[in-house]
Amino acid sequence: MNCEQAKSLIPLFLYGELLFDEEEAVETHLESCAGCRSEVVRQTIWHRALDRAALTPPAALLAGCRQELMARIRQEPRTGGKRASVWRRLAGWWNPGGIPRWVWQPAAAAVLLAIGFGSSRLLIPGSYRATEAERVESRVRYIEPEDSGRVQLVVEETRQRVLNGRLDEEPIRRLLLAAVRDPSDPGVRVESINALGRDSNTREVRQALLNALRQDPNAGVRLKAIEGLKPYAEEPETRRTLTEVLLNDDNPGVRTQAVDLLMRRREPDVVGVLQQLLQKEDNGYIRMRSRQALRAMNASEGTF
Amino acid sequence: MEEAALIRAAQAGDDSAFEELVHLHDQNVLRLSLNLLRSPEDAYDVYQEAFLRVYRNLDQFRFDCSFQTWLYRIVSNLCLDQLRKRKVRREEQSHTAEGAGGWDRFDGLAEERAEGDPQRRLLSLQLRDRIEGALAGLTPRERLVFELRHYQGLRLRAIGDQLGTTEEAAKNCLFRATGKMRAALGDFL
Repeated sequence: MNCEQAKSLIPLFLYGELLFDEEEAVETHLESCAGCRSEVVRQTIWHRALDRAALTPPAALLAGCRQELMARIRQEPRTGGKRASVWRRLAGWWNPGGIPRWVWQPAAAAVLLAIGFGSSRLLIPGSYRATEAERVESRVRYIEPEDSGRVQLVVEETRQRVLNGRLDEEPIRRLLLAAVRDPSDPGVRVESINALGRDSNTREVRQALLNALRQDPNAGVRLKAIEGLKPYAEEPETRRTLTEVLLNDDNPGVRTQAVDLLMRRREPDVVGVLQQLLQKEDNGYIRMRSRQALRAMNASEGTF
Repeated sequence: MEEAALIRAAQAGDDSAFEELVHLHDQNVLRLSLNLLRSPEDAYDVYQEAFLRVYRNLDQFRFDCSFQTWLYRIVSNLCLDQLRKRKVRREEQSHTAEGAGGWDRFDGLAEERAEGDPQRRLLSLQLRDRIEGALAGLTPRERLVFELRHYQGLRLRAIGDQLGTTEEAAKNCLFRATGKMRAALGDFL
């Protein structure tokens, strides 16, 4: 294989898409050709640059997409037999001890209504000063036609309220703190963290931000949590969490923010962390920041 | 619940199983359409249309290919349509500054990471513009194959299956795409 043939195969070689024999021939050629080896290096750099241009969908975009999709699906015409059969199976499973359906189905509807109404009362005690508007969404969950021509429905109702209040009002803060832990919707978690971060001077809120930074599976939420913690970057608990994140978070964006915030105050306690980090970190920017900080503190890069 | 069980439950009319199935794949779908179209609005539309088509036609899915292949085929066709429409519009409007809007929404993240280092930020912005320009120079099919191989990590055989073509044709397409990209970025890197 000559250089021209090898160079024409390098792009597919880098993607691992050559046939076995072709790959063997390229590797043999590379062993003896410095020019083609440097072409491989050049194209590898080019690949890395392209990797950096990849876009990650913001959490809020994904959340918006999901919400809209499910709303549109609810409006889709249902293929009667199939979809009703699920509820029939559910109803069959739920029927307690063979009690006739006409007895328990209206009772079930009443219970569902009571749960919906009661939970809204439990959630928000009546003392808050927030303004509110209410909307009730009804959804038919089970249909049973009767021989008489009448029909029985089990209706599930979701009561929605619009609350408007200040962040320091207890019901608002409590709901936001609960929303931060809502596993079903990262978009809501991002927005909750964003709102709480604007008024993070209570210990409860700071703890929620620290927990989100340590544990939230979504990188967008973790980035927002770091942003909210910026005013408290010098507190020991925040620094401990940032250190933990720097060493363990799998997202380079989060680690970048963590190293920037941690390096606002260069203290000897981070020397060991930075040395440990340099042994495993592959992100160029984080490595550079760590080296700069170690040099500024007259510390070596390696451990002995 | 495993994917096959979710599909069967969704085919039987269980909407919560369908929702779970969507959540298994939708981040990749959104990433693919966002990276291909470089516009959150267009990616949003493709997401909605793709999953609505899946919902409406799930009864016809017979497990003769993987669900992901079936889903990506739908998403790929929608993205190709978008890219082709855009290409026609661009040709009609000749040299307008189309395409810049999509990037601006992402400036925040990129710049935040490079804060405090103006030189790095400038280089990053220049590189981003060059890559954007290079991607715009690909045909819609080249763009799609490049995206699926480079960013989504699919093998050429899977890409061929998905696009209804052979592995060899997908390989040629990738080869042309990487050649054009290298030519466009060569003096910058």
